[in-house]
Amino acid sequence: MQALEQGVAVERNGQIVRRQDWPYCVMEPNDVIEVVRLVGGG
Amino acid sequence: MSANIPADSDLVLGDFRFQSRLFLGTGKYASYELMRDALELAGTQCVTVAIRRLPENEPAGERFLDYLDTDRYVLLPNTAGCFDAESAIRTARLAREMLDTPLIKLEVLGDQKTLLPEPVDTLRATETLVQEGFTVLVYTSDDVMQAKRLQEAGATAVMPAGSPIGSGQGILNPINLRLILEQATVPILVDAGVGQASDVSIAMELGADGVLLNTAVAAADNPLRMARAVSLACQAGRDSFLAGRMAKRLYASASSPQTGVLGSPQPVEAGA
Repeated sequence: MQALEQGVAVERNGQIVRRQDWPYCVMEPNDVIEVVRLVGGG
Repeated sequence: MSANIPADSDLVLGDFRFQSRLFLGTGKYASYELMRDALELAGTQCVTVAIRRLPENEPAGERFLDYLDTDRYVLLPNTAGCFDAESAIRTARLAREMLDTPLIKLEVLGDQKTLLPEPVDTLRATETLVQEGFTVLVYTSDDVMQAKRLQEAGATAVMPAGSPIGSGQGILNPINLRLILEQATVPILVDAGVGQASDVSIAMELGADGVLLNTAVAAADNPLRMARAVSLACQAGRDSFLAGRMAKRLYASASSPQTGVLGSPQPVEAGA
């Protein structure tokens, strides 16, 4: 997770993982992770 | 000697101030370079961006953000593609986490074909996001009562559609837009439906506080020329609105003096 660049946000099991918490976030086997980013849009 | 025209006021949206009243989207451009150049020519200070899932195993390549000068433009994340309040609220929260901004352009759409806003969920999402401290710029139809409800719900700005998103049909119902503007206590930004520069002028002449568009520039035959055109049109429409329109008359009113026209009767001399 730390390797991800700026411009993304992460959800773990439906809860936003704050950026400052990324280094301490330990993944569990059944975690559902959602990563979103910015794209062009109107 | 140059004539003095009073400076226009800034457009204020929450904690953000803008001199440009033109907002541009960043979608549908043939290339990132073209998008970057079009934004620059348009002179906008605020651009919309969308939030999407990061594809798995995406190859390394050019990044959208590399072409957006975030020192120059305020990024306005949207909830485009959301068809219910829950999805829109979730997207807004992720956008805030990503960009550290309270700004959100809230869109809750009703169906895929028209992309018209779903009024009940739009209102519900507005209420929730306002409570959570967002600066909500909310997309709506040109329905006068819905615009009133959204402003009462705490929206920072209400964004009525000129016509359906990406349709390029222009301002279909200027009467409704006038009614929305007349009752507005928050900025009104016309969003969606702009097809050409004159549509921007029409919206601004009616008294809109700003205009947001995307496809009119991105899908023009020459996007850069259209970017400049919509910028000039926005300023022209705003100046025209501020200048105040002359009254319409049923009959003609000559612009040249009516006296001394050659061939007209001579004035009668005194004492003759």
